[in-house]
Amino acid sequence: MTDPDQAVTPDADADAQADESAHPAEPGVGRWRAWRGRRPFAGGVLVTLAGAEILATEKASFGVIVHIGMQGLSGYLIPVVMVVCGLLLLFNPAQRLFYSILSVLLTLGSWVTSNLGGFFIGLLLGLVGSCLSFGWLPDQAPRRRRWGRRAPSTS
Amino acid sequence: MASNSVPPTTARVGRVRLRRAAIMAGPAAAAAAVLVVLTAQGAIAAQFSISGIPFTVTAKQLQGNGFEQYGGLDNMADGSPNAGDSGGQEVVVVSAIKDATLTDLCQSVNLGGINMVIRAGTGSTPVSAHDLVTDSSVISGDAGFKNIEIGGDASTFTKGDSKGPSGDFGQQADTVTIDNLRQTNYATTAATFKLPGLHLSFKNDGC
Repeated sequence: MTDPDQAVTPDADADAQADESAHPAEPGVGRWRAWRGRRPFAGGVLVTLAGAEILATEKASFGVIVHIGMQGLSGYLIPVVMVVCGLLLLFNPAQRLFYSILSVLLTLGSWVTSNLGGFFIGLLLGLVGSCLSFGWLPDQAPRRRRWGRRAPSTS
Repeated sequence: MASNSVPPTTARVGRVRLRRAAIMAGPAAAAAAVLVVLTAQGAIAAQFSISGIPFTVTAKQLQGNGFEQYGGLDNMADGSPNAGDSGGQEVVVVSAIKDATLTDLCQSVNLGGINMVIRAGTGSTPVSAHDLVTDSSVISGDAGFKNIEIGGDASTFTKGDSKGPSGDFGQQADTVTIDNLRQTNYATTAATFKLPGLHLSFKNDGC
């Protein structure tokens, strides 16, 4: 499930990671890869997308929300907090355990409150994204024999 | 400099450890499966609020208690291209049914090319919906009302638990029965549905 590109680490990455500020002329691609490598990128993006997808399927007018009351409000609250969780996974990866557990619970809740989890699509994205974020660990050895990495042919 | 301590070939980045991800994936998948099964048994109600995407509901029969219908005004966003010479306002009809049961329910949502079709209530237990509110819709079918009051002030309605704006024309009825219901709409639908016999599929054509 891991993004193969994430594992591609050209020489520039090591420098960028070790001392990013000292290399302002670092190639943009290398910095981008290094940035992704320091956070559960795929998981955070998927959780954000899941929340956005669920939000996009429900845009009830304000009058209708007021009519339904608290339950109608929770239909919106859950995907909004999912988007927040996804962004925090990306920008505050240190707290990823809390955010990923919160987002998996919210994703499950969205099945009941928010159009069957954005008609199933948001539910799937959210579950996969939460699990990827939960399973992400920083500072992994670059080569794992269990999954072959693509050779850094792109750089 | 710093790269001496970390040789380039062994640069360390974060990655997903499958075994660790599985710790969450297992229980999460199980919980999702339980939710789907409970919904399909009608044990828990799923809540819908849909707007802006084409959405169709059909049912063989709808029986409702506490029916209200009244007009309203929806405001478009400022500068909306759809505003035309309407001044950005559109008259909508709000229909509210407090409690409804539907047999052979079919809902389809157009997700841009592919339709997601939800079927439920085809067995012995019908679908039940609570606080079914439809904002600006096309409803067709053979309707029958009991104790209908036409022309009341929407703010004085008592049969449902919804109240319209004061001075608004509307109608209310104790019960409503609609056979061969077909409702197509691009506006708002909101309700809490119990969906026994839930069947969810993606198809090219909707209901």
